[in-house]
Amino acid sequence: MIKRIDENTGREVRQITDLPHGGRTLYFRTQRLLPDGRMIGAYHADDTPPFHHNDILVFDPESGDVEFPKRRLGSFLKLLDDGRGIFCTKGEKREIWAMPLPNGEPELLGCIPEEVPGNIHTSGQLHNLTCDGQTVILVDYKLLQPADSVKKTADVLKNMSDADDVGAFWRHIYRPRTGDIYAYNLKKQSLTHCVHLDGYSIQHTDPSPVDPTLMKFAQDGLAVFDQRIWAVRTDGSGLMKIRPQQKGEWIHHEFWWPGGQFIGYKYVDRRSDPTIHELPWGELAPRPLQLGIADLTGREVYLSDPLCCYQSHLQTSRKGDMVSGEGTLNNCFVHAGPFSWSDSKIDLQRLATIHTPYRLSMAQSVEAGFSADSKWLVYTDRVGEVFQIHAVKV
Amino acid sequence: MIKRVDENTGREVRQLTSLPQGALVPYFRRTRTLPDGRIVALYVPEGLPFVPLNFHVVIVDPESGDLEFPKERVGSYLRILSDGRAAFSTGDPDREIWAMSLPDGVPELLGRIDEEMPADTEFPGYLHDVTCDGRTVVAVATHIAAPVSAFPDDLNHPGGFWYYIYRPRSGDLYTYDLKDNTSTLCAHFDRHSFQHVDPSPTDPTLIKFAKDDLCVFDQRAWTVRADGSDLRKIKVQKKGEWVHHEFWLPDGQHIGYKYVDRRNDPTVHELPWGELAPRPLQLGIADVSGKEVYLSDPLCCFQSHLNISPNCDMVSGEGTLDHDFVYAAQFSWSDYKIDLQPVVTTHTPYSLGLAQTVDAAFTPDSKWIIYNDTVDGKFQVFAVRL
Repeated sequence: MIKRIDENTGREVRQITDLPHGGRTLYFRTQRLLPDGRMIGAYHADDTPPFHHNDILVFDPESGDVEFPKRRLGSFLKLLDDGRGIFCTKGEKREIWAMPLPNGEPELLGCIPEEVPGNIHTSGQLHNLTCDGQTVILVDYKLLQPADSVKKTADVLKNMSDADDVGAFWRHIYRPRTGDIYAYNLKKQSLTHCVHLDGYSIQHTDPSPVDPTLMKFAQDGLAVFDQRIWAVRTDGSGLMKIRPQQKGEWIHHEFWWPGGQFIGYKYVDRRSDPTIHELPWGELAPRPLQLGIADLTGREVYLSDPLCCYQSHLQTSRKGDMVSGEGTLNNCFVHAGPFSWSDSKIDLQRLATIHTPYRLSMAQSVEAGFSADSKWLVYTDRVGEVFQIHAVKV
Repeated sequence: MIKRVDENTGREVRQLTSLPQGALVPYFRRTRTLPDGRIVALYVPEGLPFVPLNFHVVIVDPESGDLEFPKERVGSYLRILSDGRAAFSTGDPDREIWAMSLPDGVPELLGRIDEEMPADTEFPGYLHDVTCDGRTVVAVATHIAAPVSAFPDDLNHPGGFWYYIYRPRSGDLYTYDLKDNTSTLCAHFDRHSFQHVDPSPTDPTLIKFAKDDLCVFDQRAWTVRADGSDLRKIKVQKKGEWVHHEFWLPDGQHIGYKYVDRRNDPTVHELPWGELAPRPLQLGIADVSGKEVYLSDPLCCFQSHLNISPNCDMVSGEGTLDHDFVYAAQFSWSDYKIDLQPVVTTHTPYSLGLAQTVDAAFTPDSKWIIYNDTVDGKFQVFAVRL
């Protein structure tokens, strides 16, 4: 662990990892807290391509200790509340394994037959697992314009983050496609087709942290004019809009609120905003960001006052008493502020400077989240050319 | 000729063609009037597909209703030259440009385009125009990564619309001097190509063209010299000012265009189509320096195209969604009010963005507007008396 004082905020910053190929926190909405209070992150072993979360590490932001599981079981999918990490093997035989992290005994939960739609390598992605470890959520994504499918992901991302080429952004957003969600029950070995979208695909499938029959997901457009967030049961019933949107209301980067009874999201009111076409990026929008929270009926139950600036992601602490933000263009800081249901004002303050170069839409891969005791905000920052896991005292 | 009275305006309407595969007048801005006042229309003989490469010329006379079919077809019709002859292109592989007095003059080979001149990959075989003296060919080479630019199924949805508008492409505008056999690259766009390449009706060295985008946020209308010099914006646009469907005024010293002020309009993304825009249409006119010299008051409704009479005393409009009429009104440089009135009903089914292929234009004496309408599922050429 390397300690230093942040050059702008004066706070204590700890560089938790110092790995040759880097380490990073998991995507902001991913469960990452172990029962013993430690956290999980990802690292890049010498023999794996970068940014594949195949390799999990366990760290303690307080002591700075890092522990590496001895076994590699496949692609990391999810951390269950009981501390078991869930992994999926690659290849035709998609085995789902559970293993208490960091070094418990692996248990085979089941296999996904080859004929189940959604492929971890090509046309779809194995997206997640319900909180009881029984049901795998798969997404099948089909591009209807073959030429779009040959574009490299890196090219798409580069074009989407070029403010001088807003056409590339919209062209990507409107690429003709379909999306389907499937639920595969590992015990019953039964497959359910839950959702089909025409013209869009699916993003952010995210099963409830407490209800094994419920998941939320997002339509993968910009969704300034469409409904972004939905919930559906794993048997395909109960499709429901979460926070029904009026055209121009922009809701995105949704996340489960602790307890699984609410869903938080970023809200930007772009109704009657004439800049939407030219400035689709939230960080350039002339409208402020707010934190919204809906209950499981989809009804909005909280909407904050405008926040200090746009934030790439918002997140809350395990107790729901703090909110973090990941900053944005020209505000390259992780932020935090106290949260109260009875107070619509959230006074986000800068905690630590982010040094990762900023890219429109892609932001800085900060993926901030609180430690179990809310004493630390853990995040990813670049050191030289490599991501490393950091923690700043809250 | 079939005469009738329009069911809504009470005016005399003449159906000038009743051809088995239909007929139509060329695109609204294309020159089409012969020295004797008759009008060039296009038809496809029976047995051939109704596509532009098969278009033959038929000459119509709105006054008498007579049709005359040239005996010889030397190529695809391009325009009327300054000397009154019509110019034709044979297309690939011969790439010859011919001139001929219509209907049955002796064809003259003006020249052949070199094989090395780049071809258009998006619209193969499409040649845009020749200058008014018939000496210089103007052509576009659009470079696309096929099949990315396949026309979308649904242009009526904003997503399909923008997906098409932003198809990856680049474009080059070339001229080819048929006497010197030299080509010149006049303009290049990195993310767009060229539309509406339209040489001046009076100046053989001047070409106007449009960037092939919606151009609510970009510069739409430009001119350039045939030698590639003096690239110039016509009506310099601010972001949100929408200039489109530009056309030469008969004097060759002015360029008319449709103007819609969509600055601060929050509906541009969801309603990119002019006929659905919440802002009114105006007629703008710029001089050849690019400066706007006339901007009308808002017109009665959006019009698919506007056009002006040879004497510059009348303006025509092509109606729009839920306003299926050809319109006409008096025009005066000193009066910003243009009181467009419906003169005849159009019956072609309306398509968002594509409108009705009306392509209305006045006869030289401004007594008639010649336009296209649909009868029994086929286009035919009509005239309405003013």
